[in-house]
Amino acid sequence: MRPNYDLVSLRLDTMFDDPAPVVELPAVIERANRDLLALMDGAENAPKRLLRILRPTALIGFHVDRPGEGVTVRLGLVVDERATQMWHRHISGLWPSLRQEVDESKLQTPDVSGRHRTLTISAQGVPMAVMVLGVRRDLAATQDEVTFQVPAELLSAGDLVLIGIDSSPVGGDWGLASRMVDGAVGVAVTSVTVEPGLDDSFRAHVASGRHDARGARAMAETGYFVVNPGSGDSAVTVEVTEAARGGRRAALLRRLLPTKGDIDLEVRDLAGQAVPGVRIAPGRADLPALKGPVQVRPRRAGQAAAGARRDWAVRIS
Amino acid sequence: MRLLTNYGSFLNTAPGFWKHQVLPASERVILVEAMSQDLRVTLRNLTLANALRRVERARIVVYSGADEDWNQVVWTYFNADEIAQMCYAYGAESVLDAHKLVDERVQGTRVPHVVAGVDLGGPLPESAIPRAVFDQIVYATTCRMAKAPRLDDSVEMKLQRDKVEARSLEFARIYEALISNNDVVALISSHVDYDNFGLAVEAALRHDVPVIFTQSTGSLKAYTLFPERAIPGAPVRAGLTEDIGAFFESRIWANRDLLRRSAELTQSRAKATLGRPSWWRAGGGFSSIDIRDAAERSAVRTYAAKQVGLDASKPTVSVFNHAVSDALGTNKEAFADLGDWFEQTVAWAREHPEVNWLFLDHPQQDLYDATEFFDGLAMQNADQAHMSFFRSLELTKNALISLTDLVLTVRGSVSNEYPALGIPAIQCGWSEWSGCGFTTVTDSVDDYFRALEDHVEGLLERRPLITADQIERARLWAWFYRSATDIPSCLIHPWRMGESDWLFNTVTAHMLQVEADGDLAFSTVSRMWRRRDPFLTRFDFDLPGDELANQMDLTTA
Repeated sequence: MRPNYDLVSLRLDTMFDDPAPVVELPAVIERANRDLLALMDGAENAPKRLLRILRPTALIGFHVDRPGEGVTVRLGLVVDERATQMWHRHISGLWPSLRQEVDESKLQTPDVSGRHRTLTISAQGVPMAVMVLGVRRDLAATQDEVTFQVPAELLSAGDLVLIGIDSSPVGGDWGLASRMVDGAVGVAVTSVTVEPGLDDSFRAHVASGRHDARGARAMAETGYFVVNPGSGDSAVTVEVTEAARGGRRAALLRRLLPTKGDIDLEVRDLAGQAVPGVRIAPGRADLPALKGPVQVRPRRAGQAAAGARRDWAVRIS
Repeated sequence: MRLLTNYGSFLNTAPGFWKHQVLPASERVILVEAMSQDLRVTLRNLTLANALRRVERARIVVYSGADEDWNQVVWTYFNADEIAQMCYAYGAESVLDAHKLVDERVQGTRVPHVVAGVDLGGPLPESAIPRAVFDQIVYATTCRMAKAPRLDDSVEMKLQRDKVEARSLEFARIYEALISNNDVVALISSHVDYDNFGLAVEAALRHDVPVIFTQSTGSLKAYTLFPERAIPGAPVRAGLTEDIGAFFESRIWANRDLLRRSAELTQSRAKATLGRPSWWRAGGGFSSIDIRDAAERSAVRTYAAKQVGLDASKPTVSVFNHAVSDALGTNKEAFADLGDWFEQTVAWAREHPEVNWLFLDHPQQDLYDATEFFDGLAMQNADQAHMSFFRSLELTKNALISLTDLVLTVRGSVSNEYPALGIPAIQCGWSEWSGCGFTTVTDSVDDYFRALEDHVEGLLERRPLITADQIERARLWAWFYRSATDIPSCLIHPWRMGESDWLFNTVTAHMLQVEADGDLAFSTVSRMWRRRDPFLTRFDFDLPGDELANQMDLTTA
């Protein structure tokens, strides 16, 4: 890959610029020490979080004291009521029919319950993880985190670690119907944990916004989830079972809908292409050591994904 | 957003305050425009008029109003009554609803309407305005009302033009009558463009009346067009451009060592979106610049290039589209109109894939274009991998700064912002700062494309296209614009305070509780007027360096 064009006459600094803050590793960057962030783009300081994302793409940058070892980053995000309000405001600016309405209280905003936000997390422009955060039907807050490694060679241009959080859909058409356009808007980043070197102890994981004793929960409406790579190069097993929804309506549905039958899984990479070396059995996929995030779509045999009425419990080992 | 619930106490206080702040009136007249719906604009015009009445004995005559076109196309809440109330509270002798009068005259209604001793309702002679100037103002007004970059031969456009022309003839008559039948000290106007504003300005200058041109930004900012410095045959702002360039050279650039720290501070604040660095682009979350150096710029460029679909390894020329019907022809320009420049640049870019081209639409284009001008060009060039079309606000300022290696504009403020960061800019029209030496200014279409070709080659050869001196000039201009020519006054307050109770309560409190002696609105208007300076200045730049430093209370640490 050719290096980025560099303008020779550039003079971005002023005599009043503070020196860029350098993060001494290990560190947790959160609201109290947000001055450690050297760059925040498409986002703003938040009163109770580290930051809120304002735009479809946000960037967070920080300098580290030991770039030569690479870094391991853990990013915590929250989707709450405020996130939904901000997303509605953003969308109303995009849609001309809504933009005409001056009185915000009269805006006919779309219902987001059961929909999801797809966020691609990258470092130095390279996709590292994908969060498919389902908005709970009761609109209660959901939170999740992803962990990824930024190897030293990606930091070769300097000590700036630049993390991107992007709303663009990942490859393929899975989940498009319930995906929130510009889903990053409104999401809060709670913390960025940075450790020196490449931690070899974290496992492949799913960031769906909900977890319980049976693993991650992927909402039926979303129709798919993404497995993010863990450290090291070990193979990954994905096991999917049906997860009952709570409440009386859900109990009724459980009685009405078929519960027997195998669960079929499909696996793709982020570009929507098949992943070589995958072995699939009913409710189970054995994946080779992951080079990047992969998408998995569970379906009850003989049933269209869109017709599913059950959430999925996902266990990774 | 407008949050105005307590206008009455301001209106009750102002007459008592101004009664003894100005010299007794005479037969002479200061003409004041009050045609903006935003009361902050009229507040500036009237305060400036009263500041001038401390120097010149005169009475205030106001021309105001809005017609159906303006109410449909530009304004959303124009309220003639509350504007008139402010005018009378500031001592106006009369407030003429010029739009209403023009409508009556166009309809053939002849009702006596005496203003400043002139019956504007009766027969009036034709204005002596040169036909070409009149036609240009009619054309520009029609484009603005039609929200179109240029007029075509359609019936709709012709009808619109006829309507504007008929009204313009009457505007020209009444302004000419008002000015030629009175001893006019000055005309104060927030705009110099379009028929309702521009024909008054044109008549004033033709009758040797200075025009004070207030700005709807900052605190109190105003330029003055002195008739003797107008360039014959050139657009109305051209003389101002030359005046500003000369002043900048002799007073600002000459004092650069003294002013360097201030300019750096302004630049630093501009990066953080402080000091209203961009007229159109608000919002700290996407308009501030966090990038500190080339390495950080490169890291952000990777993302930005991906977002716009361009190759980060190639130089990028950013072309900033204008609000396409905004104030056409009020300064020297190389192309026939703003749209013509953009279209020809797009066509040239198609043939030059050796660099990236990023075309950016104006943040407020919706208010100026109903023809989908930008979207049409984007569609026509969708197959060009080296060209991308985006709305400016879709990209953050960090993304724009990280991508842009050359700026193209006719007269946009980007040609100050980017050179201040070491990113070169080509202008193909004059602006307030185009005589200040930090952009490449081209005067003809051929000139423009020659300069563009040279700059593209320069980018590819990695040749510096802007010098360290030019970067410093750009930063000094930013300081000059945002500080030296922005007058803080207890009677005005920053634009950012909004059209609000907050603003008017504060002005009222100052009128009631603070003695006005030495208010900069008074002293700076007096200095500008006596010296015939082209703008208000916070400081006296005729002072020797050490005295100027003293006056500026410069911090040197």
